[in-house]
Amino acid sequence: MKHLAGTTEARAALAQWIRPLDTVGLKVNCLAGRQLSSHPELVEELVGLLEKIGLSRQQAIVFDRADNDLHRGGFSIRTAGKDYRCLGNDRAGYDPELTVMQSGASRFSRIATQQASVLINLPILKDHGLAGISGALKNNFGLVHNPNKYHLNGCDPHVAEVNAEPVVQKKQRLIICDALRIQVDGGPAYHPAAAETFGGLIFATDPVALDVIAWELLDKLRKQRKLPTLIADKRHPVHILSAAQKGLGVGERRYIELVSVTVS
Amino acid sequence: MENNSQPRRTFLRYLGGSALGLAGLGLARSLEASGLPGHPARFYKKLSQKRVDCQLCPKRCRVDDTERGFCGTRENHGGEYRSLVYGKACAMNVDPIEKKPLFHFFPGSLTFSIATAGCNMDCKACQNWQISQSRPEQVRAYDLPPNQVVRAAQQVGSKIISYTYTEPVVFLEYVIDTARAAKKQGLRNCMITGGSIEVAPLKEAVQVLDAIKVDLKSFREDTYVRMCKGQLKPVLRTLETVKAMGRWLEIVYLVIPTLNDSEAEIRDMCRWIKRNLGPDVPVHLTRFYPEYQLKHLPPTPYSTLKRSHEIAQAEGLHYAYVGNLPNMGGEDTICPKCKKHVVERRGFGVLRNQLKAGKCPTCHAQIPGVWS
Repeated sequence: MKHLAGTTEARAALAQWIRPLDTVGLKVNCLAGRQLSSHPELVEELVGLLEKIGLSRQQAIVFDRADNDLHRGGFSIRTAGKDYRCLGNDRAGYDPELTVMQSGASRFSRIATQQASVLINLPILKDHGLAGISGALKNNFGLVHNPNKYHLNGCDPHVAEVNAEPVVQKKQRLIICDALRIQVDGGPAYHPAAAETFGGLIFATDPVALDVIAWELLDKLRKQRKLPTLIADKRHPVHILSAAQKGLGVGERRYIELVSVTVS
Repeated sequence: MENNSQPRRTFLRYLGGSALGLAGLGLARSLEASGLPGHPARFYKKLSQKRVDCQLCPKRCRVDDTERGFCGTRENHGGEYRSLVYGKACAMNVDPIEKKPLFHFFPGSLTFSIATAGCNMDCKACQNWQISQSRPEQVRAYDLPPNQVVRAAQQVGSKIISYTYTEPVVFLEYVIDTARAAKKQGLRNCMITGGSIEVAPLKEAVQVLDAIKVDLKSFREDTYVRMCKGQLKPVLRTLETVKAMGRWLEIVYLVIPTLNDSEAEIRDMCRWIKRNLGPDVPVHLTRFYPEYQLKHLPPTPYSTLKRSHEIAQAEGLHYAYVGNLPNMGGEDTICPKCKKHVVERRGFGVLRNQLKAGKCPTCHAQIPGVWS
């Protein structure tokens, strides 16, 4: 994160994106259960860092689609108290206003539209049977009430359209992809035989660039396991390209700088 | 799809005054719905890596473990496909049968109508999108297993149960089991559907249904894709299958300005109906009102509906009606032989029914339908 922000301290980095008066929505991904979810430890660390830049713990809201998903991901549901809130959109509700996009219409999470002033996207990195890959862009399907309507045609152009909405564009400040464990094949569910302990976190402010890197990494791990690349497997993650074409980020690898840092 | 404006309260009022009471009729805890195992779904095939191939509708969703299909009502639990809406009614009401609309099926009757969340299409003009386009856990639902649906219908004095408001195809197991139980009690069953369903589940459902109303959204394949995320061909196949199986069939065509209202399209549709289903299938040409994703469009002009009606008549359809426009006079059943108005209607009400054993009282021509 320090490298991404060009600072020498993590909290100075975070302070570039988050202000003390912000309410921070942390969108995790817990659909695949405890073994393949955004880690609660990562969230804990991040909330601790938010405290260090002047926010109280109550100014953080950890959320995903459903309480049940969060619970299975290892989080405790909290709707009040001095600690950060943690709840599903099913409990918090969806904005009554319908957002009409080019290829569909959705109600967005009230946490995203009404409660959080900024969003931090905390996806995991996993193979996805339909979209090819589930990373930063795909994780925001968890902001809408009807993601099931958006899985046709490899989730394209729906992923890009959801990410192009102002609620995402204006509020999403940072993405931290939890790649501590990566589902290399058979996703989006957790299949231990095809999961890899990678031990990495990927930081970005550009979700498209992050997904390009994640795709590259996933293909590399697939090759090591003698699995076909996503394109060879006819699961081309075209949603990443559509997002780039929509101007949501950088889609060409040659323009993306990847800084690798080993933490001992 | 008819409007469902006051479902639950009306239903509770009916039940509240009855001997049945509300015992055993609990609010399904919607927050927990996604965590429940649900009910075993049918009409699917297991694939490798715990995936399933949903064979219920033409979408043929290939659903990964932990995921749901397009309708959002069926979830893959480790290769076992589960219905999350079986026995979970989110809308209930007692409606006139004319509201479905079914005009040639027990006119003037009341029908006990139920729905669950979910739909396998995403029509931009949906009137009930708040429930049809929601996932089961996002709507309040009642635990209402099939036998209780039947009892509730009997309690309110309805001899017909309608599966309606959203898309019964997505709760087909519930439809089939309820219809079976209802049949044993001498009740009739109607399904109000978009008709987007595979043949095998359709045939099984039709066996226990008495009438089916199909919403034909357009007669152009590209419009189906653009307007509904659906396909035309499977719906036409459904119409033919229902007709061939001898169940009472009516068709609704919502005439939407600029999307499906060209004379050519309406003429093509009428010709297809006459050629493939015969001239006696009632066709309701209904007025569109701005809804859901089409709030920018105006209501269908009177002139468009009038012209559409004229085309249907000119193409030889015997029972073309105009709906959602009560004062136009397009809701009466007219004997095709002597032109007598044998059933007069306004809105959802029957003003006068002069049929005698299904025959015109003047010329004695048989008017097709299920009249008694």
